[in-house]
Amino acid sequence: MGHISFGSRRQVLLAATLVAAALSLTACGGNKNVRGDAPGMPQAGMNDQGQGQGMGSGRDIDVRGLEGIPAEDRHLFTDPNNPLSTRTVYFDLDSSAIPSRFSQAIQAHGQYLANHPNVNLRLEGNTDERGTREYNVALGERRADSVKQAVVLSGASAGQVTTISYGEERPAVLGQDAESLNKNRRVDFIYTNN
Amino acid sequence: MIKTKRTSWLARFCLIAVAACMALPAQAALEVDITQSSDQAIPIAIAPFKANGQRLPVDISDIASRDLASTGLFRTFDRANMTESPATPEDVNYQSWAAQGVDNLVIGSAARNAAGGYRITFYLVDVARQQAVTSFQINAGGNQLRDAGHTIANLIYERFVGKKGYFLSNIAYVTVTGNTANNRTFRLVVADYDGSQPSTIYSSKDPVMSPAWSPSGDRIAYVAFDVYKGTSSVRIQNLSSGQARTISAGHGVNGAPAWSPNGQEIAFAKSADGDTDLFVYNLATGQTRQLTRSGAIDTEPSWSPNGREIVFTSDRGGQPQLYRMNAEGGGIQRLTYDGSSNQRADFAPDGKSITYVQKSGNGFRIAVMDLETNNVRIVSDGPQDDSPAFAPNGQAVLYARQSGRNALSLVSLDGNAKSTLSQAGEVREPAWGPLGY
Repeated sequence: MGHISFGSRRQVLLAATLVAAALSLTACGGNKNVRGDAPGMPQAGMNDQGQGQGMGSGRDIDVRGLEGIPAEDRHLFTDPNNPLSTRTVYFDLDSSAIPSRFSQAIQAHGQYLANHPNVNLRLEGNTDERGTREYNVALGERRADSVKQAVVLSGASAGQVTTISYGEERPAVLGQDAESLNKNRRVDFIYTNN
Repeated sequence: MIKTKRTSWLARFCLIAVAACMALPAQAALEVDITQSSDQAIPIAIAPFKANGQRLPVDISDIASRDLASTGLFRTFDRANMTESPATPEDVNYQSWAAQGVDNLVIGSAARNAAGGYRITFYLVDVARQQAVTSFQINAGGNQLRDAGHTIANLIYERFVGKKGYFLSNIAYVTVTGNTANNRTFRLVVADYDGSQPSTIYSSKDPVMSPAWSPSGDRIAYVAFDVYKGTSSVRIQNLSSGQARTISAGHGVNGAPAWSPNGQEIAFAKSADGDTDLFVYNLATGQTRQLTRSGAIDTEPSWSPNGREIVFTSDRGGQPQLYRMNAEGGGIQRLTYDGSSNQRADFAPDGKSITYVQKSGNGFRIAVMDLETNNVRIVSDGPQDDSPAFAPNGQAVLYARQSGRNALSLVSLDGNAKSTLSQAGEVREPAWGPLGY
């Protein structure tokens, strides 16, 4: 009788004994495929500050995404008649080209940054839910970089602007209709103080 | 604690364990629903196993029966129609089983062993010939009965299918709960292949994605975001210790980790000057080298099992398509031409085929390409299917369905057998670990 060891996930051996040798099995032991459980489980920083930034309409009258703007200037970004109040750029399907209707807003942000070299801007790229997730992260990054190039052309220094992409992971709205998808293909402007 | 979590059989046996499990974060087990079986399924009945005439604390024959049925390759028999649970071939009433149309019968019994566990003896019986074809003994610890059931299924599966069974393997996946766009919780969960015994290994209010098993199954690489800092990171977490190590982090893209088959390197995507390129991180040296410099998006790498090739997604030709290259980044060739885009490949364990997401018309479906013939088969219905992962024996593909109710679907390689794993909330991005034995 040959004994066969099975290294199971919990590292306890199940020894199977072949009684009638109709099957031939190869021994495979020592596979330490052990699952970690609650102890030692890392938790990401569940900060409140970052949550919800840039969500919803870019025209929100709200200081979210304006933490890095001096308090006396924030009204510029919340006045709907000021082009700085446009803090979201929306994109066509599969495109990272900035629609011309956002040119004035981008120029205003670039000039504001040029005049305030201590202010930093983070551009957060996002996509709709169609397509694969990591490709969408890359597409969102391309959108964020496209806006970065335009803001820099308008006077910002490249060192003032960082990018991040959440792909399809942080939709502005949950929904699979065309209007929801349109709202999710976007770059949000976040003026950070970190 | 691992063995006493939220499985329905346990709830009937141990109220204390149920109370303990309620204190844990929500980790509902996936429910398995077999939606379609192969019309050439092998009929097999697995009679209940008893220990000294008593039921076992875990119904191991039921576990084995569910394992086999979930592949779609076996047609199992309803327990309610079984009138006996014979322990040996001499005890079998062959006429009774034959009358029910049972060709293949599995019978067995368990006895306590000196180590406090169980010695399980079972027989595969040919009903027509009225004799045992083979028999096995399994020694299992007192808390290992569930694995013993899966081992029984593995032995029977290999006997009939000629491939190792995946019933002791684990899967990882991401769940998302919370109804509003800015109040969600992402959990990276590891579970048995059938979704039972789920365990959260990482959770965050910020997105978590792209789990990938190390070849030996001891670690998982994944991507975590920090929305407050505006950064992403590729992390490797040891499953037994919970310790995590970051291999790439910062602004821009740090994503899409894929293990080399020897477990020593990780290919991943990183943004450089606005474009996302592929890099390789060496775990021993801590060095990173750049593989592609295309001026386009290169992402979603998958390493061939022989370590020589990497298949990846690139939009260098306009739309995202799959390309192959050698593991040093040279010899790039386009692989896919069907459909409007093809993305996110996963190599089969034998290296002879890949599974990926194909967009055609307005839908995304799971495709399998034979790399020798370039023959492509579509194995899912769409319209929003994503994240296909080969079973560790190459005989099935697990993927995420994102239309209607979000769920994981398991489809046999021939597309004939299907089952669904679902739970409340969203389940996405399944990754399938190694065989586990």
